[in-house]
Amino acid sequence: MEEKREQWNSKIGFLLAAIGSAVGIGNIWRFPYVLYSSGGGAFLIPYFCAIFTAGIPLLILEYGIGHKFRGSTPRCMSKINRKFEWIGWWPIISSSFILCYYSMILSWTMKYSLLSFHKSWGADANSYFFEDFLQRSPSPTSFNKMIVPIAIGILVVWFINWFVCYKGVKKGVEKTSKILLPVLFVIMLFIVIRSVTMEGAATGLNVLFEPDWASLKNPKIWISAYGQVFFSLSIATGIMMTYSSYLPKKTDINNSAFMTAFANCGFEFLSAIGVFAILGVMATMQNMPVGEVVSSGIGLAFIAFPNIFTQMGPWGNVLGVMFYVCLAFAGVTSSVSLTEAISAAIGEKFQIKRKKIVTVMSIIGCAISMIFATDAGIYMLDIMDNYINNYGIVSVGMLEAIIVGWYYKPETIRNHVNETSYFRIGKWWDIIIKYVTPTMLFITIVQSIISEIKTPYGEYNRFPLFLYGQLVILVGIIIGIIISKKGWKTNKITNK
Amino acid sequence: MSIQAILFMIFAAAVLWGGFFITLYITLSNK
Repeated sequence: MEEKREQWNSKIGFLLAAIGSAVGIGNIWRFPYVLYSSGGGAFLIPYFCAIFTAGIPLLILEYGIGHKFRGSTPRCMSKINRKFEWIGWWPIISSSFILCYYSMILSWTMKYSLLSFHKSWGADANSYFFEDFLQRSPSPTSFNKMIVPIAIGILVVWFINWFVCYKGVKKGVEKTSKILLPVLFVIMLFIVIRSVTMEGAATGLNVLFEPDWASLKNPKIWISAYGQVFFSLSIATGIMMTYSSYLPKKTDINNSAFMTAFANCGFEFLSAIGVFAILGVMATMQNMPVGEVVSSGIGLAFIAFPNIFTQMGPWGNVLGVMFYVCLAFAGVTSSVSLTEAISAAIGEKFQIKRKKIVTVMSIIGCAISMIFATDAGIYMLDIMDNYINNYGIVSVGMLEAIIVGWYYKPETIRNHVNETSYFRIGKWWDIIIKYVTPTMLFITIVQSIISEIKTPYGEYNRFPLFLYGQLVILVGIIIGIIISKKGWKTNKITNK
Repeated sequence: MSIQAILFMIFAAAVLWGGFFITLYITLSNK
């Protein structure tokens, strides 16, 4: 029986979807701090090295595999060899966990977009966030109540995930990306232009870009660069292989990989300018060094920035709304891509049609995500995110590179992608996939383990670290192995 | 802003956004 595999309507549609997947909340709240704390302008050197020696080569690898084998991530890995199928399921399971807590963060950004109109967080954004908004419980294992506004937000997020993926690749994912991504870039550009023209912005930008050349001698900075690029590009999450499997046969894979990387990294560079311009404005207003107002992640987005917006007068309302809408749009395109990758894998394995699997998955996913709407949700997010990213995703990336580099042979993928690409990649790609990428990722994992042994993450107790961290990793591997024991119903796949 | 900071900003913008527009041009011209 022949099945018609869905395809993107256009190359640009695929690119916008892939860029949308890569561009997420981390581009806005993680990269600026990494750039600042890793040597400023000098960090650009290891950063660009990492883009060209890991980011782009790995994107080519994932695009190439998905395009060649035309299946979801576990399907692709099983076509390389059945015994590797679990390596395709591991990122899908990890992505399922990520999607659950990501929906919580998106719920926050949507709520804060509304709060920004009147700066409803009040004078003390820190206290508002943890006590009024999250109503944070005393410990990670203390669940006392459901926070209704967050739960409603999670429902909205999952509705969006369902709605977009239900409509399919062309009418859902592609169409959404074609609207959200350009709007996202325009909003960020506006934020940047407005903020760099405010008094104090130059101070922030000086601090961000002033090079600290000594940092280049520190191996941790180079590892940090590779880590940043790796996480930023949505590699080893199951998404890029799935997205590229919907491409027509004649596709310029290499150029697509370059374009995705440049767009993603260009966007986070733009975000860094915006973030540090605003931090510079704040530091100037408060007559403090910029270093004392710098933060990242949740602290930046939900504490530092609301405080800044409060002090900015009417422009604070405008920039506040725009900032949180930016975060929401960046998050939605990533959230949709995770939903698509997961439902494609499960649907393909168990031969369940799209509409049914997306609906069932969204209901179950939404129900599970509700645990993050409790007063202990933020602890779970913090621990799970750390372990999944630093161990789960990095391990999958390393295994992918090793399998292609040493088992499947890189020239097979290289020849495949070069057949239809304007730029042909040479044997340098083989060397990177075989040696550079696995080495850098292995060092990253070892460094994380050493750091964990010295000081348990976040100074949490061992039990929550095990429950939300190590167990999640184990579950990913075990479920992957169990599912891969079941065979695939083979249907011949043709292109429309 | 210091000259060094400005130069790094321009350098990064040139590589990233220049690269993006070149690849976009290739994509559009090879439809």
